[in-house]
Amino acid sequence: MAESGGGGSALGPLEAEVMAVLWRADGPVSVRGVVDRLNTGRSAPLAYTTVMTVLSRLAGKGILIREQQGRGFVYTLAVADTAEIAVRGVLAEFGDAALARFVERVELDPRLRARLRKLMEAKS
Amino acid sequence: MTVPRPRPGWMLWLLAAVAVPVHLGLTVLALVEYARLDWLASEPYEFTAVSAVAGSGVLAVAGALRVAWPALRGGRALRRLLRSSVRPLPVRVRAATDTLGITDRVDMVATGEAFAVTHGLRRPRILLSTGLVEALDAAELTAVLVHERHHLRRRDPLRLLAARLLAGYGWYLPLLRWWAQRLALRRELAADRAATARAGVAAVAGALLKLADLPAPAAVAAINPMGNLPDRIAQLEGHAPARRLRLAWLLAGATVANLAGLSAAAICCTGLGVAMAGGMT
Repeated sequence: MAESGGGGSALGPLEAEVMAVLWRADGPVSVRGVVDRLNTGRSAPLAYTTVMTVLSRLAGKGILIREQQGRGFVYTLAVADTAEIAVRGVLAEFGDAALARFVERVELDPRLRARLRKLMEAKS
Repeated sequence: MTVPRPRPGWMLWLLAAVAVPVHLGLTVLALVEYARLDWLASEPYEFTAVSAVAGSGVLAVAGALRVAWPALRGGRALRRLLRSSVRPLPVRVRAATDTLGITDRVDMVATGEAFAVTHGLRRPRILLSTGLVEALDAAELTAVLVHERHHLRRRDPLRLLAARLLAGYGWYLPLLRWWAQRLALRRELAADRAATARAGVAAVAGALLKLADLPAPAAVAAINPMGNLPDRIAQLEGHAPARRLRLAWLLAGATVANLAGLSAAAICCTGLGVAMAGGMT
């Protein structure tokens, strides 16, 4: 769960709770679904908009995937566990200040992709 | 592959090693001057000179801190991550790292995202993800490891940070930023040459394709969206990297203009300082 692995430091407390809900869920969950699950057994219920904000922030960080379903959005996990979140956090925090990364993840230009394919196939 | 030898950058390092302390010294002098300046009686040129030097020094230190801070925070976060999440190396990886003699310098974390980085300033280490190992075949894995080993042996994280600190310090000198970017490119190209020599062009190209290609649109920094890739691919094809001399001259012009203005102010300021010191004795 969210608190295991020691990598949770990249997440705020509410974010970690929301992640725990999604980890337990089997597939996409709507904002309402997350709110209901979070508020079960909670003395001071969380507002819908608060949860929505947290969800869209996590989607913005690339930790959740957001998809349109009907009139609203549903969310699924984009990461396997807390280590992955921590890694993303670390790499984002570092920027490229003191790291030598093999290659940045980019959306490759089709021509570059074709050139790489050619190199891959020609001399193997 | 015929690629011209990169020119040595040591002259720039030497220049920086002299210029930065001198500039910092002058800044301290200028700040002291501020405290003593007789605002009403002083000449406008004195005021301008002192302000230019003090301002440039303060802004330079701020620029360097903007680079140092994320590096520091990132380093801490990474060490925390390594303490909590490191996994033993799978047999396949272990075999490759043993052959390359870097097993004691490689860590692995379990994440789906495929990446390999070299980090650490004093004693660099390589960090791999399980996603990387799943994505690559044996030759590609060797290519990535040899590439990172090259960064490791040359202490590239330290070099890159030093260059970026210098570029941050002299952020008003566009040539420095350009030079730091070229340094990063040269380090990547050199590491790619090492990888190619060991694992072959196809393996390096395959690893680049598998690790760089992001199928879904993502928010990526827009300034240089392909990063160093076009140059690295060109090298794999056997071409020399583009030298972009016209851009370099343009940036050099801007840099010289900025430096000249600052130096003029600094000379006035130094003169003032010497005069004051002379007056005190």
